[in-house]
Amino acid sequence: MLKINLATRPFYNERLVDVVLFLLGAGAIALMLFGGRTVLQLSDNYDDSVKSAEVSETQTRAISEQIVALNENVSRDELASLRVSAAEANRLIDQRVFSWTGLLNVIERTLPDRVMLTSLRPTGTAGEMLLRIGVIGEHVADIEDFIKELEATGSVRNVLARQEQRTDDGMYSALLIGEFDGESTGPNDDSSGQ
Amino acid sequence: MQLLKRVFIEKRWPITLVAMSVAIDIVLYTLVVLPWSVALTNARQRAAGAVSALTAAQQALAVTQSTVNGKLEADRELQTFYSEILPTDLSDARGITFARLEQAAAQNNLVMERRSSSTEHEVGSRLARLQMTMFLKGDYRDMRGFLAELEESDDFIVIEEISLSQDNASENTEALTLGLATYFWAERDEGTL
Repeated sequence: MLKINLATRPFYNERLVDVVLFLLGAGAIALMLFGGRTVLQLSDNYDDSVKSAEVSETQTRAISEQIVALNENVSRDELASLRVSAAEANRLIDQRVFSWTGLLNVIERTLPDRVMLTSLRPTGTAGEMLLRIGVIGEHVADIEDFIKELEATGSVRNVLARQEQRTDDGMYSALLIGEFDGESTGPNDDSSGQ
Repeated sequence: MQLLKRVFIEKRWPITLVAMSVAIDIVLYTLVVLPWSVALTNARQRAAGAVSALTAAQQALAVTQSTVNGKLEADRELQTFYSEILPTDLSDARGITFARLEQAAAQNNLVMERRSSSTEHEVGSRLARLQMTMFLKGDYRDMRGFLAELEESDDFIVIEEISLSQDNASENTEALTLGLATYFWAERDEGTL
């Protein structure tokens, strides 16, 4: 005969409790193992990252020292002076290689019979050459024709008669200013150049 | 509630083991895994920053090396220009202008009526300029020949300006005023640039 009070000490599903406790325990141990493995991985990755950072920082320091050493050999004043000298040399070379023959060919092709060339002065560098042309003509219209012909070649642009005046012998002298782009084969091209 | 208490009492050892395991997990994750994760994140950021700094330093080095190489190259080219293209000094400059220009004019049937020359040194320039004005007379075609000869010569003579006027209409001769210049290094004692 069972001598217990089932009202105060009822049965319960002991197996279920065991299973739950087993699962909880197993889960906790699995989590512990996973945590341990994670710590090891984190530790390895941390070491790798720190080592990589240190290598990069060492290389950066070495390169920075190299840059400082190189910069000590090149001062800003030296570079500025070099730039000025190089610009001056380029300007002189542009002036030296300027083709007067080409320019005179262009002018001869376009100069009307009643206009005479009196002076010619190019200034500036290649690509930005400004031309000052002095001419004397019988009439202002002749000088205007010369300007049109000159621009029609494509070698000279934006020609302006800066100054025109009547001379003592009844002619007109003018100072023309225009941008010279170099000799080109215009509509009035003459291969003889004369 | 009585039942739960009874379960706790009867299963206290397994429950204690499970509770301890959970507690160890909590401690492990809060005191070890989490700090290591933060440390790793910081280390990765430091590594990434170091790589960026290294890349920037390498680029700066390339620019600096390029500047230095460019400067050396420009130095060499300027030295070549000064020593091999331009006259070496005033005496050399005078030599290529005075004698040779007169000779070239004579060869092209031009008569040199007069000429004047002067030297000047622009502020900031390492070069001095020998400027010369020549007044020539002769036929226009001979003048063209003279100018072409100057252009084709090896001497560094810059034709700066020409002025033309009719000299004698009956003989069809022209007067040509020629502005010429040459340059030479005036700071030879300063050594290389």
